[in-house]
Amino acid sequence: MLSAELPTGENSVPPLRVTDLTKKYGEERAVDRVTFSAAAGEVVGIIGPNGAGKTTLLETVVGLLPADSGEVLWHGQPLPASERRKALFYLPDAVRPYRDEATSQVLSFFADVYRRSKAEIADTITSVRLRPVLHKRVHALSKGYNRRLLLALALLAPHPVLLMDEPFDGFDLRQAREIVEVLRNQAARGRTFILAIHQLVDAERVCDRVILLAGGRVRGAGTLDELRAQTALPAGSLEDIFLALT
Amino acid sequence: MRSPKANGWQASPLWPLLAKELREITSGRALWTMLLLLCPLIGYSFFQAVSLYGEASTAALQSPVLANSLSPLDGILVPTLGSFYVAVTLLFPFVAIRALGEEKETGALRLLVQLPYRPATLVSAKLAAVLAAWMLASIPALSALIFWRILGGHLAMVETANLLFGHLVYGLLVGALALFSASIAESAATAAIIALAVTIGSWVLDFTVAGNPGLLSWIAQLSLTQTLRPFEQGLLSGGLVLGAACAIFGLIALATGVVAARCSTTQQTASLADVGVDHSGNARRRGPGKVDGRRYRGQAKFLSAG
Repeated sequence: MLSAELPTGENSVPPLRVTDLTKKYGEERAVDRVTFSAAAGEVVGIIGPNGAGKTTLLETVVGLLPADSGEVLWHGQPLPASERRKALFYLPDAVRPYRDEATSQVLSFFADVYRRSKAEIADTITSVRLRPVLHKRVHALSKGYNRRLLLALALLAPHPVLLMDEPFDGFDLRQAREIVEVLRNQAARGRTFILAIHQLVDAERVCDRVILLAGGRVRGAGTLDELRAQTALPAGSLEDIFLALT
Repeated sequence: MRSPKANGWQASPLWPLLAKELREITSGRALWTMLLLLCPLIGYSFFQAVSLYGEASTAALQSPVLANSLSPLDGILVPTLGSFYVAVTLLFPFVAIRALGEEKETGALRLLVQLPYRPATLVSAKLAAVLAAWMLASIPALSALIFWRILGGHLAMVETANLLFGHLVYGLLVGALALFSASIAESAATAAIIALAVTIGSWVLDFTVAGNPGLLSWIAQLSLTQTLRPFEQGLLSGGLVLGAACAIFGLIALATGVVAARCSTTQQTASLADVGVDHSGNARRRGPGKVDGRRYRGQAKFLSAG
C-alpha cells in the first residue's frame, strides 16, 4: 500500500501524521487505511475526483467524523479526536456563515475570539482582498468573495495546521493565482496546509506534495517530479499521472 | 511540550460569542414578525380585559361581595399575558430554533464547533440569546401593564413579578425545547415541527384531558401549560419551579450532547495488521533546519505554552 509520509530521519518528526485511517459508511470504506504526514510550512494536496473520499478524510482527521480505525499523531504523540480542534482548523466546503451579518462583523467575531489585533485583521483583509465587500451582508456576497471570507476566517485562526476543502472552488484563474500566493506566503511562515482539491491544475500550482486519492485509497504520493518518476512519465502532467495511477 | 492543550483556547473571551448570538437572533425575521403580531394581539387582549374589568367594577359599586372578588391579577394581568402565552407557544419556537438551526443549515456550525469554546458554552450562549429575545418579545406585554398603571389601575408588585416570573420560566422551557429540537433535526423546518408538536400537543392535552380522573388527570399534569397555572393563581410553587428548571437544564444538556458529538467524536481504536508502506520516494525531502526555522509563529506559541 502506498503512503504519503515524509522521509524518516533526524528531526523529521512531522507535526501531523495520520496512520492507517479508515472510515466506513456501513460496509463501504470511504477512507481506506490512509497514511500521510505533513511538515511545517508544507502545502499538501489531497487530490482526487468527486467521491474519492477527500472530504471524509479531512473531516475524520480533524475529528468531526469518528474514525473506524487508525491514528492521528501530533509531533509523534497520539492526538485524541477531542483535542484535535486545538491543533487543526478545518475549513469546510459550501459554507456560507452568518448570512444576515455584514462581512466585517463575521470577521470581527472570529478575530475577537482569537484575540487578533487590528493590524492582523487588516493584514488578513488585505491579503485576501476582502475590503470592497466588508460592508455587504454575507448572503449578498458572490461565490468568490464568500470563499475569500472563509479563507480569511481560517487565516485568523492561530492553528499551525489548516485543512481546507476545495479552497479554489469559485475562483477564476486570476483569483486562484492570488489565493495561491496568499497560501504560499502563509506556508513560508511555517504554517501547514492540507488542501482537498479536485482541480488538478490548481493542485499543481500550489502544492509541494500531492496525495492521489481514489476510492478512499492512496494511489500515489509525492512531489510532481517523484510521481513522474514513479509513473515513468517524465513530462507528464498531474492529470496524466493521476490517470496512470488510478 | 508537544501537547496542543495550552493554546490559550479556554481563555477566549465570552463576549464575542454572546454578541454574535444576540446579533443572529435579532437579525432574523422571526423575532420581529413575532413582535409585530404580539403588539395587536396583546393590545386587543388588554383593551378587552380593561373593558370587561371596567364593566364588572361598575357593577361591583352596587355589590360589595362582587367587589371583593375582583382583582387586577384575574381581570387584567392574566388575560393580557394570556395572549403573550399563546404567542410564546406558537411563535417563539421559530425564534429560538433560529439560534441553532440557521448555523446547522448554512454549515456555520462546523466552523463554530471548532472555536475554542466548550459545547456547553456554545449552547448556553444560545440560551442566553433566546432569553434576550424573550425579554424583547415581552415588551408589548410590559407596556400594557405600564399603561394600566398610567390609567390608574392597581398592580400588586409581588404577584405581578410572580406572574412575570412564571411566563419567564415558560418561555425558557419553550426556548430550551426549541434548541433541543434544532439540535436533533437536520433542518429548521423539521425542528419547528418537532417543537410545535410538543407545545401545541401539550396545549391540546391540557384542555382535552384536564378535569378527567385518574391517569388522564396525571397525563394532563405533564402539559407545558400547567407550568403557568399556579403563577396565574398568584402562587409560587417551589416544586414546580424546580421541575421546570430540571426540564430546561435537561433539554439544554441534551442539546449540548448533540453539539458535543459534532465537536469531537470518540475515535474507535482498532489494531489493523500492518500494511506495506512505501516510505521511499513518496515524500519531499527537506532539511530539518529549514522546517524548524520556518515554523509559524502561532505554532511556536502553541507549542511553548504546552
